[in-house]
Amino acid sequence: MAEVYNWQLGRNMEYPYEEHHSKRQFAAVFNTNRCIACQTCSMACKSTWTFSEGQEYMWWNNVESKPYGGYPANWDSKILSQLAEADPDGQKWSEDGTFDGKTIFEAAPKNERVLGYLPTNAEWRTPNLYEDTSTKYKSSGKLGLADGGAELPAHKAWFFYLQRICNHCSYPACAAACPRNAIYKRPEDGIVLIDQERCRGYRKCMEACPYKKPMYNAQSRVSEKCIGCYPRVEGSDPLTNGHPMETRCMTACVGQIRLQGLVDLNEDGSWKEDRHNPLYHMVKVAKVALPLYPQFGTEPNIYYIPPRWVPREYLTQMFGPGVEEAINAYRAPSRELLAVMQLFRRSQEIVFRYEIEEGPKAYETKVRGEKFTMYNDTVIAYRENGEEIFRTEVEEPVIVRPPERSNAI
Amino acid sequence: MSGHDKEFDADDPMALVPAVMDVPMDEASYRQMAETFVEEYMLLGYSDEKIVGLFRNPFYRATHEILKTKGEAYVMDLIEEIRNG
Ligand code: SF4
Ligand code: SF4
Repeated sequence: MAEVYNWQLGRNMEYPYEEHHSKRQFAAVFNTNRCIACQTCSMACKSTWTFSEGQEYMWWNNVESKPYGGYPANWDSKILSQLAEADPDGQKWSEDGTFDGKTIFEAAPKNERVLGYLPTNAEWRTPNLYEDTSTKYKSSGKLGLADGGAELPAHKAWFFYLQRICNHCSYPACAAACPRNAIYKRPEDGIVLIDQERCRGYRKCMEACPYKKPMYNAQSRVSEKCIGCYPRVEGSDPLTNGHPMETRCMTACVGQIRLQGLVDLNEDGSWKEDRHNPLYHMVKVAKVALPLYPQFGTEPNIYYIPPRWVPREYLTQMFGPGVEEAINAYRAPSRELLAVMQLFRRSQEIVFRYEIEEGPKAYETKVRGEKFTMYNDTVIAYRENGEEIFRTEVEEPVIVRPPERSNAI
Repeated sequence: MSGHDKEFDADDPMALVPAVMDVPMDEASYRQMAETFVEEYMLLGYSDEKIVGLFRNPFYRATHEILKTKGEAYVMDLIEEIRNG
């Protein structure tokens, strides 16, 4: 195996191929604090890419209720257990943020390139088992539908929604495992694709991807995966008017929790300093968003703002050692971060650069004994060629229902 | 017989499986959740009175549930703590 540098682990690691990086990388930030699990993203993806025969079970985008849900079932606890078994008591981060344990490449069994498993058919069956469920579930029989009204349960224990797509990893496990070299990473944007001509459906990608995002199509007998809506990202989809546009799942997001873009890379794979790219700001400057299970070692490119009500041990296992810092950055946002967060879902186009025009003080308050001042700044978003896409203000109108109309349903 | 007339079969492996996770409440994470609500409203610039109002109003289900379960003193203490640190 070759030695490659993984900045999320803070060290070199083993990988079957020599280090090589794309010019730009497809990346996104998901704010888990804001997701309402409406599944509009899942439906937007399904109705665009996976509505054909053989694709019925496929959800390239899925949203699961953690800690119980998973698609396929228990995908993360399974791979975590495999890693713990391969490296008992070793899966730890050191004080300086370096990962001391083994990645899925380093823990691979003899004669395999990656540690993994092939999910069973039954595990793919329930994309979001344990989703909000009626507690007054009474049925007289037909189709199991509830009689009369239904009431949602009050959640007494913590949970949160985890939005998942292919991470278009910098060191894809799917590509590492493919015996046909049918999987490749595009040099222009880092999107990872399966060449449908070369693929023979051996399902090694399905076995190797720790996030379980490649899926086998029993009809066409080849594997398929999220294609990062590349015609939109390229700006070659007729809808885009030639301007790079975010994917279907991102632009459909009702909760406005997703922002996707492209980041420029240095030759060594590190992110080029791009102070006014919103993704660069959130991941590298504010450090408010973190990769999902970085310890797997694939260097995933979807970053998450962690849910701040969830026990820290759980979050640290899921997002690595930066959790406390990310939550602090989110719960007391800087003036700049607050403005950057307004860029989410104001347009379908990819924002390459933002600028902030300072506005008047909107209000001042006190939280946890500290002064917090809110300014009504204006944030301006620009496309790749420098033209303005939109501008928006930080302060949003707050509408409170009058008491006599408090139940508007 | 059309599909609509068929009886619901609990053994059907393809049927959707709803399940209620009746996990007992753990004090620390319950409080963490409650703190998150209060903090959100404070960052919006809401006064203490306005926030208490959201706990009293039954149409704000999540906050009202906390008041119902833990009582008004718990809510007042929570607000005081988040306000003053
Ligand atoms: S998430 Fe899985 S399928 Fe996507 S690039 Fe990474 S390893 Fe490959
Ligand atoms: S569309 Fe947005 S808010 Fe709705 S489930 Fe998807 S990520 Fe969550």
